[in-house]
Amino acid sequence: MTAGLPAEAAGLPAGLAGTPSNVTVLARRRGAPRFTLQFISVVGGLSAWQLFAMSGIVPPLFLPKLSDVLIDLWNLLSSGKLNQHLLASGIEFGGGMLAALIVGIVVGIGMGASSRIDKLLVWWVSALDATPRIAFAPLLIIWFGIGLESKMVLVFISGLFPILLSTASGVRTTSRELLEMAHSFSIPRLMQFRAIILPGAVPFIITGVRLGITRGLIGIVVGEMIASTQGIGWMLSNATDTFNMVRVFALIIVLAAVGVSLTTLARWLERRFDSWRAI
Amino acid sequence: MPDDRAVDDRAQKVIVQDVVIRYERAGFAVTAVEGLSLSVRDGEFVAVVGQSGCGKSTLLKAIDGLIPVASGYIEVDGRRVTRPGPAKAMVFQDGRLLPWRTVLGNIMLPLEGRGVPKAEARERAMALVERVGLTRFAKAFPNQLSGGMQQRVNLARALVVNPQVLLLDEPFAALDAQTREYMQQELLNIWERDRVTAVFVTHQIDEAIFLADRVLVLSSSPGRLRREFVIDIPRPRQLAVKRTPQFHAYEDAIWSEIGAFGGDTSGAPVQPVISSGAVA
Repeated sequence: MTAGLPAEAAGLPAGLAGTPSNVTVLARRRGAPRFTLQFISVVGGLSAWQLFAMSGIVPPLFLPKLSDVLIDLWNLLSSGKLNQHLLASGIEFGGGMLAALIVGIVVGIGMGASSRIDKLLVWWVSALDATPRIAFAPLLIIWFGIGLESKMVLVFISGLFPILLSTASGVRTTSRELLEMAHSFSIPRLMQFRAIILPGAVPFIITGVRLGITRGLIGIVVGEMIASTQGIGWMLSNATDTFNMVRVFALIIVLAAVGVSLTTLARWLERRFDSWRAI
Repeated sequence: MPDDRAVDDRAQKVIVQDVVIRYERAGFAVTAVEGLSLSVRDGEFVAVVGQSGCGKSTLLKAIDGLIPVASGYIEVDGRRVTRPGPAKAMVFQDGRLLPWRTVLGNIMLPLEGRGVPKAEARERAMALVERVGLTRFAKAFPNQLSGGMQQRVNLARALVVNPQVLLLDEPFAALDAQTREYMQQELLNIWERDRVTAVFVTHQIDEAIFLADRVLVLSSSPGRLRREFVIDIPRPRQLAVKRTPQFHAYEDAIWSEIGAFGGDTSGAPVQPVISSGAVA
Protein backbone atom coordinates (compact mmCIF):
# COMPACT_ATOMS: atom_id res chain seq x y z
CA MET A 1 0.00 0.00 0.00
CA THR A 2 2.55 2.49 -1.03
CA ALA A 3 1.87 5.42 -3.28
CA GLY A 4 1.12 5.15 -6.93
CA LEU A 5 -2.30 3.64 -6.49
CA PRO A 6 -5.03 5.22 -8.59
CA ALA A 7 -6.51 8.24 -6.89
CA GLU A 8 -9.93 6.72 -6.55
CA ALA A 9 -8.71 3.67 -4.70
CA ALA A 10 -7.40 5.87 -1.92
CA GLY A 11 -9.80 6.69 0.85
CA LEU A 12 -12.19 4.08 -0.41
CA PRO A 13 -12.69 1.15 1.95
CA ALA A 14 -13.08 -2.13 0.16
CA GLY A 15 -16.33 -2.55 -1.70
CA LEU A 16 -17.62 0.95 -1.25
CA ALA A 17 -17.37 1.94 -4.87
CA GLY A 18 -19.93 -0.64 -5.88
CA THR A 19 -22.29 -0.16 -2.96
CA PRO A 20 -25.17 1.95 -4.30
CA SER A 21 -26.49 -0.68 -6.73
CA ASN A 22 -26.26 -3.42 -4.09
CA VAL A 23 -28.17 -1.35 -1.60
CA THR A 24 -31.04 -0.72 -3.99
CA VAL A 25 -31.41 -4.38 -4.82
CA LEU A 26 -31.56 -5.35 -1.16
CA ALA A 27 -34.15 -2.72 -0.32
CA ARG A 28 -36.36 -3.82 -3.20
CA ARG A 29 -36.20 -7.47 -2.24
CA ARG A 30 -37.22 -6.66 1.30
CA GLY A 31 -39.98 -4.32 0.14
CA ALA A 32 -41.89 -6.76 -2.07
CA PRO A 33 -44.21 -8.59 0.38
CA ARG A 34 -44.57 -5.53 2.58
CA PHE A 35 -48.31 -4.89 2.24
CA THR A 36 -49.62 -8.48 2.37
CA LEU A 37 -50.38 -8.53 6.10
CA GLN A 38 -51.83 -5.03 6.09
CA PHE A 39 -54.11 -5.97 3.22
CA ILE A 40 -55.32 -9.12 4.98
CA SER A 41 -55.95 -7.10 8.12
CA VAL A 42 -58.09 -4.46 6.38
CA VAL A 43 -60.12 -6.92 4.29
CA GLY A 44 -60.63 -9.12 7.35
CA GLY A 45 -61.74 -6.20 9.51
CA LEU A 46 -64.21 -4.89 6.92
CA SER A 47 -65.62 -8.41 6.36
CA ALA A 48 -66.10 -8.81 10.08
CA TRP A 49 -67.99 -5.48 10.13
CA GLN A 50 -70.29 -6.60 7.30
CA LEU A 51 -70.96 -10.03 8.86
CA PHE A 52 -71.54 -8.58 12.33
CA ALA A 53 -74.01 -5.99 10.96
CA MET A 54 -75.81 -8.68 8.92
CA SER A 55 -76.18 -10.93 11.96
CA GLY A 56 -78.69 -8.49 13.50
CA ILE A 57 -77.12 -8.58 16.97
CA VAL A 58 -76.98 -4.77 16.96
CA PRO A 59 -79.68 -2.56 15.42
CA PRO A 60 -78.74 -0.92 12.08
CA LEU A 61 -79.06 2.50 13.76
CA PHE A 62 -75.92 1.63 15.76
CA LEU A 63 -74.01 -0.16 13.06
CA PRO A 64 -75.26 -0.18 9.46
CA LYS A 65 -74.04 -2.78 6.99
CA LEU A 66 -70.82 -1.92 5.18
CA SER A 67 -72.53 -2.69 1.88
CA ASP A 68 -75.23 -0.07 2.59
CA VAL A 69 -72.55 2.46 3.50
CA LEU A 70 -70.65 1.80 0.29
CA ILE A 71 -73.82 2.12 -1.79
CA ASP A 72 -74.58 5.45 -0.11
CA LEU A 73 -71.03 6.59 -0.72
CA TRP A 74 -71.34 5.68 -4.37
CA ASN A 75 -74.62 7.61 -4.66
CA LEU A 76 -73.06 10.62 -2.95
CA LEU A 77 -70.16 10.54 -5.37
CA SER A 78 -72.12 9.95 -8.55
CA SER A 79 -74.77 12.58 -7.80
CA GLY A 80 -72.05 15.21 -7.40
CA LYS A 81 -73.51 16.17 -4.04
CA LEU A 82 -70.38 15.18 -2.17
CA ASN A 83 -68.12 17.06 -4.57
CA GLN A 84 -69.86 20.34 -3.89
CA HIS A 85 -69.41 19.97 -0.12
CA LEU A 86 -65.89 18.59 -0.47
CA LEU A 87 -65.03 21.65 -2.52
CA ALA A 88 -66.38 24.00 0.17
CA SER A 89 -64.40 22.19 2.88
CA GLY A 90 -61.38 22.06 0.58
CA ILE A 91 -61.42 25.82 0.03
CA GLU A 92 -61.67 26.42 3.77
CA PHE A 93 -58.89 23.96 4.49
CA GLY A 94 -56.65 25.07 1.63
CA GLY A 95 -56.98 28.77 2.39
CA GLY A 96 -56.45 28.32 6.11
CA MET A 97 -53.50 25.94 5.73
CA LEU A 98 -51.77 28.13 3.15
CA ALA A 99 -52.00 31.11 5.48
CA ALA A 100 -50.82 28.94 8.40
CA LEU A 101 -47.85 27.73 6.34
CA ILE A 102 -46.76 31.21 5.30
CA VAL A 103 -47.24 32.87 8.69
CA GLY A 104 -45.98 29.81 10.61
CA ILE A 105 -42.76 29.49 8.63
CA VAL A 106 -42.01 33.23 8.51
CA VAL A 107 -42.73 33.89 12.19
CA GLY A 108 -41.10 30.56 13.15
CA ILE A 109 -37.91 31.56 11.36
CA GLY A 110 -38.04 34.93 13.11
CA MET A 111 -38.45 33.34 16.51
CA GLY A 112 -35.77 30.76 15.81
CA ALA A 113 -33.23 33.26 14.51
CA SER A 114 -33.75 36.16 16.91
CA SER A 115 -34.02 35.72 20.63
CA ARG A 116 -35.64 39.16 20.83
CA ILE A 117 -38.51 38.18 18.56
CA ASP A 118 -38.73 34.91 20.45
CA LYS A 119 -39.06 36.69 23.79
CA LEU A 120 -41.68 39.05 22.41
CA LEU A 121 -43.89 36.26 21.15
CA VAL A 122 -43.12 33.14 23.12
CA TRP A 123 -45.73 33.52 25.88
CA TRP A 124 -48.50 34.34 23.43
CA VAL A 125 -47.57 31.41 21.25
CA SER A 126 -47.26 28.93 24.10
CA ALA A 127 -50.54 29.99 25.67
CA LEU A 128 -52.44 29.89 22.39
CA ASP A 129 -50.85 26.58 21.42
CA ALA A 130 -51.97 25.05 24.71
CA THR A 131 -55.55 26.28 24.33
CA PRO A 132 -57.91 23.86 22.53
CA ARG A 133 -58.47 25.68 19.24
CA ILE A 134 -62.10 24.59 19.13
CA ALA A 135 -62.79 26.93 22.04
CA PHE A 136 -62.37 29.77 19.54
CA ALA A 137 -65.01 28.40 17.17
CA PRO A 138 -68.03 30.23 18.65
CA LEU A 139 -66.04 33.46 18.75
CA LEU A 140 -64.90 33.08 15.16
CA ILE A 141 -68.44 32.45 14.01
CA ILE A 142 -69.56 35.69 15.65
CA TRP A 143 -66.65 37.57 14.11
CA PHE A 144 -66.59 36.04 10.64
CA GLY A 145 -70.08 34.61 10.17
CA ILE A 146 -71.15 31.08 9.30
CA GLY A 147 -69.64 31.16 5.81
CA LEU A 148 -66.30 29.85 4.61
CA GLU A 149 -64.28 32.59 6.32
CA SER A 150 -64.81 31.52 9.93
CA LYS A 151 -63.70 27.96 9.12
CA MET A 152 -60.73 29.24 7.19
CA VAL A 153 -59.62 31.18 10.24
CA LEU A 154 -60.21 28.14 12.45
CA VAL A 155 -58.01 26.00 10.18
CA PHE A 156 -55.44 28.78 10.22
CA ILE A 157 -55.18 28.95 14.00
CA SER A 158 -55.32 25.14 14.28
CA GLY A 159 -52.47 24.59 11.84
CA LEU A 160 -50.40 27.66 12.68
CA PHE A 161 -48.83 26.77 16.03
CA PRO A 162 -47.43 23.33 15.28
CA ILE A 163 -45.85 24.71 12.09
CA LEU A 164 -44.57 27.83 13.82
CA LEU A 165 -43.10 26.03 16.82
CA SER A 166 -41.32 23.31 14.91
CA THR A 167 -39.94 25.79 12.36
CA ALA A 168 -38.54 27.85 15.24
CA SER A 169 -36.88 24.83 16.85
CA GLY A 170 -35.56 23.71 13.46
CA VAL A 171 -33.88 27.08 12.94
CA ARG A 172 -32.63 27.12 16.53
CA THR A 173 -30.95 23.71 16.25
CA THR A 174 -28.77 24.66 13.26
CA SER A 175 -25.39 23.05 13.76
CA ARG A 176 -22.87 25.47 15.28
CA GLU A 177 -20.11 23.67 13.42
CA LEU A 178 -21.75 24.33 10.05
CA LEU A 179 -22.26 27.98 10.94
CA GLU A 180 -18.61 28.28 11.94
CA MET A 181 -17.66 26.72 8.62
CA ALA A 182 -19.86 29.27 6.82
CA HIS A 183 -18.25 32.06 8.84
CA SER A 184 -14.80 30.77 7.95
CA PHE A 185 -15.66 30.92 4.25
CA SER A 186 -17.23 34.38 4.70
CA ILE A 187 -20.61 33.18 3.45
CA PRO A 188 -22.96 36.20 3.55
CA ARG A 189 -25.79 36.17 6.11
CA LEU A 190 -28.59 35.76 3.62
CA MET A 191 -26.86 32.86 1.93
CA GLN A 192 -26.17 31.18 5.27
CA PHE A 193 -29.90 31.30 5.70
CA ARG A 194 -30.76 29.93 2.31
CA ALA A 195 -28.03 27.30 2.09
CA ILE A 196 -27.61 26.17 5.70
CA ILE A 197 -30.26 27.24 8.17
CA LEU A 198 -33.36 26.63 6.05
CA PRO A 199 -32.39 23.25 4.59
CA GLY A 200 -31.46 22.11 8.08
CA ALA A 201 -34.86 23.18 9.35
CA VAL A 202 -36.84 21.46 6.58
CA PRO A 203 -37.38 18.15 8.43
CA PHE A 204 -38.68 20.11 11.42
CA ILE A 205 -40.94 22.26 9.25
CA ILE A 206 -42.44 19.20 7.57
CA THR A 207 -43.07 17.51 10.90
CA GLY A 208 -44.88 20.67 11.93
CA VAL A 209 -46.88 20.67 8.69
CA ARG A 210 -47.95 17.06 9.28
CA LEU A 211 -49.18 17.94 12.74
CA GLY A 212 -50.79 21.11 11.42
CA ILE A 213 -52.68 19.16 8.74
CA THR A 214 -54.17 16.81 11.32
CA ARG A 215 -55.16 19.68 13.60
CA GLY A 216 -56.58 21.61 10.64
CA LEU A 217 -58.77 18.66 9.66
CA ILE A 218 -60.19 18.47 13.17
CA GLY A 219 -60.77 22.22 13.05
CA ILE A 220 -62.69 22.07 9.82
CA VAL A 221 -64.99 19.20 10.78
CA VAL A 222 -65.83 20.59 14.20
CA GLY A 223 -66.15 24.14 12.89
CA GLU A 224 -68.60 23.06 10.22
CA MET A 225 -70.54 20.96 12.69
CA ILE A 226 -70.98 23.94 14.96
CA ALA A 227 -72.23 26.41 12.39
CA SER A 228 -72.18 26.39 8.62
CA THR A 229 -74.28 25.97 5.51
CA GLN A 230 -72.12 23.52 3.60
CA GLY A 231 -69.08 21.25 3.84
CA ILE A 232 -68.33 17.73 5.05
CA GLY A 233 -68.75 18.67 8.72
CA TRP A 234 -72.13 20.23 7.92
CA MET A 235 -73.20 17.03 6.09
CA LEU A 236 -72.05 15.00 9.07
CA SER A 237 -74.02 17.05 11.54
CA ASN A 238 -77.04 16.99 9.22
CA ALA A 239 -76.89 13.20 8.91
CA THR A 240 -76.62 12.80 12.67
CA ASP A 241 -79.62 15.05 13.24
CA THR A 242 -81.72 12.86 10.92
CA PHE A 243 -80.35 9.59 12.38
CA ASN A 244 -78.93 8.72 8.96
CA MET A 245 -76.23 6.39 10.28
CA VAL A 246 -75.42 5.03 6.84
CA ARG A 247 -74.56 8.57 5.76
CA VAL A 248 -72.51 9.23 8.91
CA PHE A 249 -70.37 6.17 8.21
CA ALA A 250 -70.02 7.09 4.53
CA LEU A 251 -68.76 10.55 5.52
CA ILE A 252 -66.34 9.12 8.07
CA ILE A 253 -64.88 6.99 5.31
CA VAL A 254 -64.52 10.10 3.13
CA LEU A 255 -62.76 11.95 5.96
CA ALA A 256 -60.47 8.98 6.60
CA ALA A 257 -59.54 8.93 2.91
CA VAL A 258 -58.85 12.68 2.91
CA GLY A 259 -56.77 12.42 6.09
CA VAL A 260 -54.73 9.51 4.76
CA SER A 261 -54.11 11.27 1.42
CA LEU A 262 -52.95 14.46 3.10
CA THR A 263 -50.58 12.75 5.51
CA THR A 264 -49.26 10.61 2.65
CA LEU A 265 -48.61 13.80 0.73
CA ALA A 266 -46.76 15.24 3.72
CA ARG A 267 -44.68 12.07 4.01
CA TRP A 268 -43.88 12.18 0.34
CA LEU A 269 -42.76 15.78 0.74
CA GLU A 270 -40.63 14.75 3.69
CA ARG A 271 -38.92 12.09 1.66
CA ARG A 272 -38.44 14.39 -1.31
CA PHE A 273 -36.76 17.11 0.73
CA ASP A 274 -34.82 14.61 2.77
CA SER A 275 -33.45 12.57 -0.10
CA TRP A 276 -29.96 13.24 1.22
CA ARG A 277 -30.79 11.23 4.33
CA ALA A 278 -31.44 8.09 2.30
CA ILE A 279 -29.04 5.10 2.29
CA MET B 1 14.54 28.62 19.05
CA PRO B 2 12.77 30.28 16.15
CA ASP B 3 13.62 33.86 17.01
CA ASP B 4 17.31 33.67 16.31
CA ARG B 5 16.80 32.42 12.77
CA ALA B 6 17.62 34.99 10.12
CA VAL B 7 14.75 36.34 8.05
CA ASP B 8 14.31 34.27 4.91
CA ASP B 9 14.22 35.98 1.50
CA ARG B 10 10.84 34.46 0.77
CA ALA B 11 7.85 36.50 1.90
CA GLN B 12 6.41 35.64 5.27
CA LYS B 13 2.88 34.50 4.53
CA VAL B 14 1.83 33.94 8.10
CA ILE B 15 3.20 35.80 11.09
CA VAL B 16 2.10 35.01 14.62
CA GLN B 17 3.65 37.46 17.07
CA ASP B 18 3.52 37.14 20.89
CA VAL B 19 -0.01 35.83 20.66
CA VAL B 20 -2.14 35.11 23.70
CA ILE B 21 -5.49 33.41 23.22
CA ARG B 22 -7.97 33.07 26.04
CA TYR B 23 -11.46 31.67 26.05
CA GLU B 24 -14.11 31.10 28.62
CA ARG B 25 -15.30 27.64 29.52
CA ALA B 26 -17.88 26.98 32.22
CA GLY B 27 -17.15 30.35 33.83
CA PHE B 28 -13.37 29.87 33.88
CA ALA B 29 -10.99 31.89 31.77
CA VAL B 30 -8.70 29.40 30.06
CA THR B 31 -5.43 30.52 28.50
CA ALA B 32 -5.11 28.28 25.47
CA VAL B 33 -2.07 29.88 23.89
CA GLU B 34 0.47 32.16 25.54
CA GLY B 35 3.33 34.18 24.11
CA LEU B 36 3.38 32.23 20.89
CA SER B 37 5.42 33.48 17.94
CA LEU B 38 5.95 31.72 14.66
CA SER B 39 6.05 32.45 10.98
CA VAL B 40 5.40 30.56 7.78
CA ARG B 41 7.06 31.46 4.52
CA ASP B 42 5.41 31.58 1.13
CA GLY B 43 4.93 28.08 -0.24
CA GLU B 44 6.04 26.43 2.97
CA PHE B 45 4.24 23.46 4.49
CA VAL B 46 4.35 23.74 8.27
CA ALA B 47 2.99 21.16 10.68
CA VAL B 48 2.10 22.02 14.26
CA VAL B 49 2.18 19.13 16.70
CA GLY B 50 1.47 18.82 20.37
CA GLN B 51 -0.73 16.89 22.72
CA SER B 52 -4.46 17.29 22.72
CA GLY B 53 -5.36 20.45 24.56
CA CYS B 54 -2.15 22.24 23.71
CA GLY B 55 -4.08 24.89 21.85
CA LYS B 56 -3.00 23.95 18.35
CA SER B 57 -6.53 23.91 16.93
CA THR B 58 -7.23 27.16 18.77
CA LEU B 59 -4.16 28.67 17.15
CA LEU B 60 -5.38 27.59 13.72
CA LYS B 61 -8.80 29.12 14.29
CA ALA B 62 -7.14 32.34 15.38
CA ILE B 63 -5.08 32.40 12.17
CA ASP B 64 -8.32 31.92 10.25
CA GLY B 65 -9.85 34.81 12.21
CA LEU B 66 -12.59 32.70 13.77
CA ILE B 67 -11.47 33.58 17.30
CA PRO B 68 -9.78 36.76 18.51
CA VAL B 69 -6.37 37.04 20.12
CA ALA B 70 -6.17 38.57 23.61
CA SER B 71 -2.81 40.18 22.85
CA GLY B 72 -0.14 40.06 20.19
CA TYR B 73 -1.10 39.91 16.54
CA ILE B 74 -1.47 37.61 13.56
CA GLU B 75 -0.73 38.61 9.97
CA VAL B 76 -1.65 36.68 6.88
CA ASP B 77 -0.35 37.83 3.51
CA GLY B 78 0.75 41.12 5.04
CA ARG B 79 -2.62 41.94 6.60
CA ARG B 80 -3.68 41.90 10.22
CA VAL B 81 -6.19 39.10 10.84
CA THR B 82 -9.40 40.28 12.48
CA ARG B 83 -11.88 37.95 10.83
CA PRO B 84 -12.06 35.22 8.19
CA GLY B 85 -11.29 36.34 4.68
CA PRO B 86 -10.50 35.20 1.15
CA ALA B 87 -6.76 34.78 1.79
CA LYS B 88 -7.40 31.80 4.06
CA ALA B 89 -9.29 28.55 3.73
CA MET B 90 -9.82 25.95 6.43
CA VAL B 91 -10.02 22.18 6.16
CA PHE B 92 -11.97 21.07 9.21
CA GLN B 93 -11.34 17.97 11.24
CA ASP B 94 -14.97 16.86 11.21
CA GLY B 95 -15.83 17.44 7.57
CA ARG B 96 -18.59 19.98 8.12
CA LEU B 97 -20.14 19.23 4.79
CA LEU B 98 -23.74 20.21 4.12
CA PRO B 99 -25.57 16.86 4.19
CA TRP B 100 -28.27 18.15 1.83
CA ARG B 101 -25.80 19.17 -0.85
CA THR B 102 -23.98 16.89 -3.25
CA VAL B 103 -20.21 16.69 -3.40
CA LEU B 104 -20.23 19.25 -6.21
CA GLY B 105 -22.71 21.47 -4.37
CA ASN B 106 -20.57 21.46 -1.23
CA ILE B 107 -17.47 22.47 -3.16
CA MET B 108 -19.45 25.23 -4.92
CA LEU B 109 -20.57 26.75 -1.61
CA PRO B 110 -17.59 29.06 -0.93
CA LEU B 111 -17.66 30.28 -4.54
CA GLU B 112 -21.38 31.03 -4.32
CA GLY B 113 -20.63 32.88 -1.11
CA ARG B 114 -18.30 35.14 -3.06
CA GLY B 115 -20.83 35.82 -5.75
CA VAL B 116 -19.08 33.77 -8.43
CA PRO B 117 -21.67 33.11 -11.20
CA LYS B 118 -23.27 29.65 -10.95
CA ALA B 119 -21.86 28.33 -14.22
CA GLU B 120 -18.32 29.42 -13.41
CA ALA B 121 -18.62 28.10 -9.85
CA ARG B 122 -19.77 24.75 -11.18
CA GLU B 123 -16.87 24.57 -13.60
CA ARG B 124 -14.27 25.47 -10.99
CA ALA B 125 -15.79 23.08 -8.45
CA MET B 126 -15.84 20.28 -11.01
CA ALA B 127 -12.15 20.83 -11.70
CA LEU B 128 -11.49 20.38 -7.96
CA VAL B 129 -13.72 17.28 -7.84
CA GLU B 130 -11.46 15.79 -10.49
CA ARG B 131 -8.32 16.94 -8.75
CA VAL B 132 -9.25 15.10 -5.54
CA GLY B 133 -10.29 12.01 -7.49
CA LEU B 134 -14.04 12.08 -6.86
CA THR B 135 -15.30 12.48 -10.43
CA ARG B 136 -17.63 9.49 -10.15
CA PHE B 137 -19.06 10.82 -6.89
CA ALA B 138 -19.73 14.42 -7.93
CA LYS B 139 -23.47 13.89 -7.49
CA ALA B 140 -23.26 11.76 -4.35
CA PHE B 141 -24.37 13.08 -0.97
CA PRO B 142 -21.87 13.20 1.92
CA ASN B 143 -23.51 10.36 3.85
CA GLN B 144 -22.95 8.10 0.85
CA LEU B 145 -19.20 8.68 1.12
CA SER B 146 -16.56 7.07 3.31
CA GLY B 147 -14.69 9.21 5.83
CA GLY B 148 -11.69 9.51 3.52
CA MET B 149 -13.84 10.63 0.61
CA GLN B 150 -15.60 13.19 2.81
CA GLN B 151 -12.24 14.67 3.73
CA ARG B 152 -11.35 14.90 0.05
CA VAL B 153 -14.48 17.01 -0.41
CA ASN B 154 -13.47 19.06 2.62
CA LEU B 155 -10.05 19.64 1.05
CA ALA B 156 -11.52 20.47 -2.35
CA ARG B 157 -13.90 22.98 -0.77
CA ALA B 158 -10.92 24.81 0.75
CA LEU B 159 -8.78 24.67 -2.40
CA VAL B 160 -11.53 25.84 -4.76
CA VAL B 161 -11.17 29.44 -3.54
CA ASN B 162 -7.44 29.47 -4.38
CA PRO B 163 -6.41 30.54 -0.87
CA GLN B 164 -3.08 32.18 -0.10
CA VAL B 165 -2.87 30.03 3.01
CA LEU B 166 -4.40 26.61 3.55
CA LEU B 167 -5.24 25.78 7.17
CA LEU B 168 -5.75 22.11 8.01
CA ASP B 169 -7.12 21.13 11.41
CA GLU B 170 -6.30 17.46 12.01
CA PRO B 171 -8.15 16.55 8.81
CA PHE B 172 -7.25 12.86 8.96
CA ALA B 173 -7.62 12.31 12.70
CA ALA B 174 -10.94 10.47 12.42
CA LEU B 175 -9.79 8.12 9.66
CA ASP B 176 -8.54 4.58 10.12
CA ALA B 177 -4.78 4.10 9.92
CA GLN B 178 -4.75 2.74 6.39
CA THR B 179 -6.96 5.46 4.92
CA ARG B 180 -4.97 8.08 6.78
CA GLU B 181 -1.75 6.99 5.05
CA TYR B 182 -3.44 7.09 1.66
CA MET B 183 -4.80 10.53 2.38
CA GLN B 184 -1.41 11.86 3.47
CA GLN B 185 0.04 10.76 0.15
CA GLU B 186 -2.97 12.17 -1.71
CA LEU B 187 -2.68 15.49 0.08
CA LEU B 188 0.98 15.78 -0.89
CA ASN B 189 0.25 14.84 -4.51
CA ILE B 190 -2.45 17.51 -4.68
CA TRP B 191 -0.34 20.03 -2.82
CA GLU B 192 2.69 19.49 -5.08
CA ARG B 193 0.89 21.11 -8.00
CA ASP B 194 0.87 24.67 -6.72
CA ARG B 195 2.47 24.34 -3.28
CA VAL B 196 0.13 26.68 -1.50
CA THR B 197 1.35 27.83 1.91
CA ALA B 198 -0.06 25.32 4.40
CA VAL B 199 -0.39 25.10 8.18
CA PHE B 200 -1.29 21.58 9.23
CA VAL B 201 -2.27 20.81 12.82
CA THR B 202 -1.98 17.20 13.96
CA HIS B 203 -1.06 15.03 16.90
CA GLN B 204 0.41 12.35 14.63
CA ILE B 205 4.14 12.93 14.57
CA ASP B 206 4.83 10.71 11.56
CA GLU B 207 2.12 12.56 9.66
CA ALA B 208 3.70 15.89 10.49
CA ILE B 209 7.19 14.78 9.38
CA PHE B 210 5.92 13.17 6.19
CA LEU B 211 3.97 16.23 5.10
CA ALA B 212 5.89 19.23 6.35
CA ASP B 213 8.95 21.29 5.58
CA ARG B 214 9.02 22.30 9.20
CA VAL B 215 7.45 20.75 12.30
CA LEU B 216 6.64 23.04 15.22
CA VAL B 217 6.25 21.41 18.60
CA LEU B 218 3.91 23.15 21.05
CA SER B 219 3.97 22.62 24.78
CA SER B 220 0.62 22.14 26.42
CA SER B 221 -1.60 24.31 28.57
CA PRO B 222 -0.94 26.99 27.70
CA GLY B 223 0.45 26.38 24.23
CA ARG B 224 3.91 27.79 23.64
CA LEU B 225 6.35 27.07 20.89
CA ARG B 226 8.70 24.43 22.30
CA ARG B 227 10.95 23.78 19.38
CA GLU B 228 10.97 23.53 15.64
CA PHE B 229 12.42 20.86 13.39
CA VAL B 230 13.33 21.45 9.76
CA ILE B 231 12.45 18.31 7.81
CA ASP B 232 15.13 17.87 5.22
CA ILE B 233 13.51 15.14 3.14
CA PRO B 234 13.43 15.88 -0.59
CA ARG B 235 10.12 16.32 -2.39
CA PRO B 236 8.07 14.88 -3.94
CA ARG B 237 7.83 12.39 -1.08
CA GLN B 238 6.37 8.90 -1.15
CA LEU B 239 5.05 6.90 1.80
CA ALA B 240 8.09 4.60 1.63
CA VAL B 241 10.16 7.43 3.10
CA LYS B 242 8.50 6.69 6.43
CA ARG B 243 10.60 3.54 6.72
CA THR B 244 13.97 5.24 6.23
CA PRO B 245 16.42 5.76 9.13
CA GLN B 246 16.35 9.51 8.52
CA PHE B 247 12.59 9.54 9.06
CA HIS B 248 12.91 7.51 12.25
CA ALA B 249 15.55 9.89 13.52
CA TYR B 250 13.14 12.78 13.08
CA GLU B 251 10.42 10.81 14.85
CA ASP B 252 12.70 10.03 17.79
CA ALA B 253 13.85 13.61 18.04
CA ILE B 254 10.32 15.01 18.09
CA TRP B 255 9.07 12.34 20.45
CA SER B 256 11.81 13.14 22.90
CA GLU B 257 10.96 16.82 22.67
CA ILE B 258 7.35 16.13 23.54
CA GLY B 259 8.30 13.54 26.10
CA ALA B 260 10.76 15.82 27.85
CA PHE B 261 8.58 18.89 28.08
CA GLY B 262 5.04 17.80 27.37
CA GLY B 263 4.02 16.88 30.90
CA ASP B 264 1.77 13.83 31.10
CA THR B 265 3.22 11.77 28.27
CA SER B 266 3.70 8.76 30.48
CA GLY B 267 3.21 6.39 27.55
CA ALA B 268 5.58 8.15 25.20
CA PRO B 269 9.09 6.81 24.74
CA VAL B 270 11.63 9.33 25.92
CA GLN B 271 14.71 9.13 23.78
CA PRO B 272 17.67 11.40 23.23
CA VAL B 273 17.92 13.57 20.15
CA ILE B 274 19.77 11.35 17.73
CA SER B 275 20.34 13.47 14.70
CA SER B 276 21.43 16.99 15.31
CA GLY B 277 20.78 17.59 11.63
CA ALA B 278 17.14 17.07 12.35
CA VAL B 279 17.08 20.04 14.64
CA ALA B 280 17.01 23.52 13.25
